[in-house]
Amino acid sequence: MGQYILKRILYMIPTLFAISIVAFLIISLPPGDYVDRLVANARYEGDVITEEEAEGMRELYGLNRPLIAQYLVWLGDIVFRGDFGTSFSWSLPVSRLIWERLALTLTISVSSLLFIWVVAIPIGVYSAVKQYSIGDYFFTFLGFIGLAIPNFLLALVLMYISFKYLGQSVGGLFSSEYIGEAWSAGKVLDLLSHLWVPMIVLGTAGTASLIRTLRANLLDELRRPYVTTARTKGLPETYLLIKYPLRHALNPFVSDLNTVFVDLVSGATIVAVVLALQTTGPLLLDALRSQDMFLAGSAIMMLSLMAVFGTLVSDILLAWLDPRIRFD
Amino acid sequence: MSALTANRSAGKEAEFVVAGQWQLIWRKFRKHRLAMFSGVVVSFIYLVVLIPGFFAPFTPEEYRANFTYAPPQPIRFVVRTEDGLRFAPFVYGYKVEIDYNAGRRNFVIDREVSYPVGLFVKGAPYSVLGLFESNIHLFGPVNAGDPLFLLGADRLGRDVLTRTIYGTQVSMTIGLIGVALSLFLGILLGGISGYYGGWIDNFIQRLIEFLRSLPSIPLWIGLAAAIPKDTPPMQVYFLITVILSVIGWTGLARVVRGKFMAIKTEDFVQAAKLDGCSTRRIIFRHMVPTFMSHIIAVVTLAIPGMILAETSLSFLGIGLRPPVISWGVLLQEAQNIRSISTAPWLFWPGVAVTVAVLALNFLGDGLRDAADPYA
Amino acid sequence: MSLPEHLIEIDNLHTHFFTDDGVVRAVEGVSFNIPRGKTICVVGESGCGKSITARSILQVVDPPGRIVEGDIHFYPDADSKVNIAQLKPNGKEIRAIRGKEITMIFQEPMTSLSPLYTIGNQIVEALRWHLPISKKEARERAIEALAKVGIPRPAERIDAYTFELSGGMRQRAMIAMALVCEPKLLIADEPTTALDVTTQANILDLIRELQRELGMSVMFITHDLGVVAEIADEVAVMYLGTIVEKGTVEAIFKDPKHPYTRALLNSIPKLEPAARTRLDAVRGSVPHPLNRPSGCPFHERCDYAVAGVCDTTDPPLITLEGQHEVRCVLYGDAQGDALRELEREATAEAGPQIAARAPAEQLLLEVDRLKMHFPIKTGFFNRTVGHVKAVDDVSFAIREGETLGLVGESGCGKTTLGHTLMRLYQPTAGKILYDGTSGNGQVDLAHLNNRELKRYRREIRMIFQDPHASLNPRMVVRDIVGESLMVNELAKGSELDETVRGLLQRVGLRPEYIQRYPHAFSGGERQRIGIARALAPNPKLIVADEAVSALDVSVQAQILNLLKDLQAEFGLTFLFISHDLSVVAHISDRVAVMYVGKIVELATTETLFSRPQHPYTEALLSAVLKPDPTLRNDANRILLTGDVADPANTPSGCDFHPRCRYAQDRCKTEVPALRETAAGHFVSCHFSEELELRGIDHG
Repeated sequence: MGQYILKRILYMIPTLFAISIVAFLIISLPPGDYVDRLVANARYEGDVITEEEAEGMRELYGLNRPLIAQYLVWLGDIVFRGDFGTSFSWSLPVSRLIWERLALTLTISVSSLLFIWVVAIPIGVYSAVKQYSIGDYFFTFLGFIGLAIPNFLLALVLMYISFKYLGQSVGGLFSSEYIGEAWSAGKVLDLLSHLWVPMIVLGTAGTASLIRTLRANLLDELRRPYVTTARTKGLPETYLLIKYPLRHALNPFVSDLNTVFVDLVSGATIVAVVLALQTTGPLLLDALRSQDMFLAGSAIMMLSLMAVFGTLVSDILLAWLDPRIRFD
Repeated sequence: MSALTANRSAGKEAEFVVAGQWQLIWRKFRKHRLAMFSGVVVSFIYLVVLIPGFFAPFTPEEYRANFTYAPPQPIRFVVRTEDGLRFAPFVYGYKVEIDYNAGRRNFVIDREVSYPVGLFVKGAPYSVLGLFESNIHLFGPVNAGDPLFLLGADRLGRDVLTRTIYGTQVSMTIGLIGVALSLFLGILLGGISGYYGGWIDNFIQRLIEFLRSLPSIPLWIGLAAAIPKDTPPMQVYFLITVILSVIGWTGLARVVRGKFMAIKTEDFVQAAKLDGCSTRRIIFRHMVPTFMSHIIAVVTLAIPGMILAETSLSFLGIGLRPPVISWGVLLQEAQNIRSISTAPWLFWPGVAVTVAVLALNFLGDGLRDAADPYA
Repeated sequence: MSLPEHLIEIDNLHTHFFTDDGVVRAVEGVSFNIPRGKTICVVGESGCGKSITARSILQVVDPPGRIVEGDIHFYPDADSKVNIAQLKPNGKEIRAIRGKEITMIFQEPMTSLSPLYTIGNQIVEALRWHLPISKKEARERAIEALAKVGIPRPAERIDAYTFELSGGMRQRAMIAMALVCEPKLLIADEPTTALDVTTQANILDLIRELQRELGMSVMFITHDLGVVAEIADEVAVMYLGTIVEKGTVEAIFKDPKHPYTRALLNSIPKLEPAARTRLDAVRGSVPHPLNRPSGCPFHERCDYAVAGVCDTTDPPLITLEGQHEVRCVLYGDAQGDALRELEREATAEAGPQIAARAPAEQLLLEVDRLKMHFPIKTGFFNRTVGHVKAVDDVSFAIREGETLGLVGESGCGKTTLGHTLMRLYQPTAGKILYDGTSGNGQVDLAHLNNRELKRYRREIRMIFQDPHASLNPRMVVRDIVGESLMVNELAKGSELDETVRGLLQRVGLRPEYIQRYPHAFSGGERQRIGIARALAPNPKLIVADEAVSALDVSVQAQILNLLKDLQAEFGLTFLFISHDLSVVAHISDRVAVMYVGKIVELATTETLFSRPQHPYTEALLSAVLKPDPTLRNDANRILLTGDVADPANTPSGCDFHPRCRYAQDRCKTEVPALRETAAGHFVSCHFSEELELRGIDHG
């Protein structure tokens, strides 16, 4: 098992490297750079930035070096000094901007994941065991709808409903009095009370797809010979159901976990924009719009890293669940 | 013995023994009521894509500044006359009330005024597939100039229904083209992977794994943000499909490769080889027909993802931009709580997205179940 | 008070499956008793309802199946009686019986045990559920049970997962699990069908021993009459959901009454190579239960069927002397006597003998030191860490017009050898010299590329094992059979249709079938299509890879007859690959025995079966079960211990030495060469001249 984990971690190194390249490539793609953007903005406002001033700024930001050099400096600073560079538009170190928001993204993603599991497993089991019952049809249909509604639309609808009927705004992750405040017990509680909306919004699609997956897997497993064997041993149905088919059906479920987690991290970006959450999503979007390249690059990279680590965790979980993988 | 072999009632016998795979698939698919129904819905949506001008009462850019944010008008189909009930659809008109507190106009339905609505009425000209012009609309106000906002009007007084119908064109085709592109990449790379094997296969597999472990939306956002603002709309449209496919091909490639690998070792493929078939003949005569139906099902199930992705990107303002009309672009109008609380009908394009995706999912599900009639 | 004679009395049991296509009456009025402390075998071909009958006893029939009628009376002891058919499925009462009083083992232990839990976990669970014992105690009893079923090092193996055990060991673990609560009845559903013949012998011995020791009853389900003869006290023969005949094992084998029982017995190829006549095959195949014929379910295939009687009325169950019962009108009242006369006449006509043919001396195919090694790759960089030596240095020759049988247990490389000869693989080393194209001399097929091979692919053809997988379901029979003609431009259009029609007729199918798809045919018919495909381009050599293994015994006999007829008619040469020694003995002129990628013995069929010279051949032969209960030869059986060597990691010296009872020091170090010990008799054993090995007793 230890060896397996070590192997998985070693496999991650080239992946991490590739991620940094992809992130850097994406932020270098737009024509022009941050300084061009500043010059354009200045012109728009009737101000003038001279050619020399622009060059000076490029010198300062290191934007006049060849791309590969910029990349190596950027990566080197991150790896050896934990320095993600400076955000142009915020004039702050990227690391100061990004860590708390990353932590919140992670919180939302993980809590949505838990939400998905808690809701999807019992419903999936029910749907499989009571195949073709009214409840099964109901949940199946609900699942399809959950899959079909775009996340952001669901967020908007929830916002609309709570605005219209509850008379309150559900956006954000904190009440106004806690924004910008240091962490305290009150702030944590406040976060928890705001968390449920993004959790449901983000979790719906995942829940729907996991119910479907689990139902299909379980239906498959229920017909396996080992279930009959267990039954011939005289085990009661519920115990048997949990110990054998459900446990087997969870395998593809867990191996699917990484996809679900990646989708959550991914989907959180848009939902955060709609719900005005203080996570990486809106930060990334703004950074991309203003060509704040180090901030955008770091955000893309850190989100990808989070997804890759999620994959690692799900692989380890799968190995722990399934001896066949462990022994391979 | 498979249920298939057993399913031979005497009368159907003669027909059954000579039924090819598509007939068997169709027979199996037909039993799937919801999928059948969804198939009809999807066909209808694509019909709308072909001739939106006919289904929409107006042209998408037609605006009535004095009807901004007009709410949907209820439609009535029958009028009561002395002779009894008569089919004569009409809508009620509007009254304007000024809300002095908020400093804005509010439209209220005025039951005193009614505007007749007719089928196949003449209206603004539109082009049918670029072939000829027509001005017949499926329905519209009988008297040109009467207001008709079945799904309300937007901030410029444009008809939401008309715009949603026109949005179908972009939203539904971007999914189709994106999937076609993904399929091309998927078959190419999946095929290369399956055909050459060895380190190429290994490399492509690692690449797929890598791409699948990345969160797609931040990458999409990143790539879409790289499209310069002054790019012409058509180019943006194609760039967006390319961006969606660059990440979307991996799923299809995996399916293609997996099917390829699985069928390659089947006995009947070995038998074809022993019959002296060339590699080309083995692939196209013996293997491709075997997984064609599966690919169609997978493709159908991939389209909704593309539609959702386009909608999301456009919604965020980094995908398609006006004047292009897509469901995502239309939903931008509904981006803030202020506008949706005053004009919730701006959600209608969202309903269109949901219905389209739902129908495609049901259809794909039915196709997938029917794809292997020999299972 | 003494115990009731029967442990279970099944009375008029009906178990039906309610499917979308209609009601499948899988079990239709079955009545029989399970005697206390004895073994009853339920025998029949696939789809006859024997498994469903067994599952009904425990009420573990999978939905949409359920018991709709009948009683299953269970008499656990002197004064209690339960009607299992009336118990609530999965209720408390039935659960108290399952796993404790009645247990069950299945065909495929790999899928019948969960791979996610250790075998110990799965055994202990059964114990602790039924008996009030501690975890520790349960574990000890589980270890004991594993020791009892002959699993070495049980204290370690208890923590093993199923995938860490070999097939035979898994089945032993399964048996341990079933017997740990010391049940009164063990239901064994084809427990040896998936196992190799030597392993099967071990498992049967084990079941018989444990039965005696525990004094339990065994209900043994099998399609294999050899197994029945070996293990049964009583026999019930099933056909399409009903029992057509039952009696003691002696009565059934000595004096079978029902035409179906007789047909089954006649369909089995005899081991005696002298008896290589046509098999007395019954026509047709078991219909799907949805298309169950009216009247006697067997009448459509029965040679003695009486029109107007058998096709309309259900035959009565008739009791003959000695509790021998048969469900057939032939044994009825006065009318039956006349019919019996008819029957006597019919049996007097023996099946036609096959014209003797002497294989030519001309060699058609010569295989020289052929090797097929597959690299084992692992890790990120696909490094090769070893080789599976599937075929390792194999040499032999096939004469024109002969049938060479190739036998061996699963994983011995016989199928790979066949595929390599067909050039589905590129051989690692060696030559495949073919001399069929007149005047061309020998051609080395091993070194030709695909284009060069094309002309030889017409002359060397293959018949596959699985009649379902080997026909493309998306092509019609015309295209399947005619593909080689089309590709080689030998025929097209109406000429092609004509040729295919002729081929279909030749293999016993109606010519108008050419536009049908494979799904319209039964397994036996599909195999005929496969044979027609092989015959299409007028081949010289046909490699038949387990060509009859997937078929029921009655259909198997038809196909074997067909192959022999075709050989006589077209002068075909066969390489006949099979794991079934009786089939190989029946059809082959010479036989080669393979073990771990090598040929260990090759001789004429007569010599190999009567005077084997390799200890492995001897063990294989002794493990063959003959359909004759008087030949139960447990005393003489050679039980092989251990598993077949891993072809990726072969032992030093002779591959067989770890399992060989004659092994000496030399065998551990020196690899024996395949040498000719007598004319035409090749053996790879250091001591073949010194050993006195037993062949088949024609007793």
